[in-house]
Amino acid sequence: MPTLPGQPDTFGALQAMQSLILSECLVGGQSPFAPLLSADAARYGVARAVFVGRPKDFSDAYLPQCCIYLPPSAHADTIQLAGFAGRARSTFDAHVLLLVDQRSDWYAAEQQILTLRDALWPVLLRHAQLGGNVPAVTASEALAGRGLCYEQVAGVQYRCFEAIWRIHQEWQIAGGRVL
Amino acid sequence: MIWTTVRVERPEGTVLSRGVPVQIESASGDGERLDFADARPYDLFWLYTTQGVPLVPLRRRDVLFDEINADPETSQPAKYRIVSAVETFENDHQEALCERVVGG
Repeated sequence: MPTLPGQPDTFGALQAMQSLILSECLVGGQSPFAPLLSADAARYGVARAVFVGRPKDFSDAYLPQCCIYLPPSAHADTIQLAGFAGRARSTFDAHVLLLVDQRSDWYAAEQQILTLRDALWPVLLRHAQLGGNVPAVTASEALAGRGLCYEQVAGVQYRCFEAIWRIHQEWQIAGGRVL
Repeated sequence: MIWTTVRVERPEGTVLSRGVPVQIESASGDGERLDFADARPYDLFWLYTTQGVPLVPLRRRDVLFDEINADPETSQPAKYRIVSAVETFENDHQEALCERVVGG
């Protein structure tokens, strides 16, 4: 049995999701997400607009865009001890939000968001452990989220799709529980 | 209130024009506001062009960079995004409501 890590790795899990979406959520063999300007590519460590979190400084140049974020909800996170030896389990629901621009042609945006949705689902469903590179992640599963929806940012409405990627993590508290 | 010039980008990263003279004044007055499920804090500003209507008129979603003044919280050029319909007064001037994201 593999050694469990000493703590969860939530950011690592989100980065693994980001990496899988960048490499496997493809349309016509290419990532459909907007390329980042060089400064932002250096800041975020990725070449395209697939973000961990919701960017504070939203940019229209980065559409289509994907945001993988943890919502501020008490129901999106669970944690429990498994026995007395200090093994712990947690689950979080990451929301995967896709945004496209519908300003100049809503019907083109409608087709675009459906295309992105269909490219995203197989990625979410395919991986049982987010690619296996995050030791704390024991399982991942896809769930329906808000589905097709709208988001308003800076006074502008965008066409969106949102799904949930549920991640299970397990780790061993170093030295076990203490008094 | 400040008098300055702005660089206009549409979308951000694509320069449309430079040196557009404007007057900028706060429209908030009551602390930062929140957007995008609270992820995007911003302050509100009114922006007025001061030498007529620009050759390429301003419009909603344009991103304007102050060419003289820095954002005091980021030390980067202050950046404003037009968030509503721009009002144009014949050949006199334009007025635009803008948001400036708080921090970086």
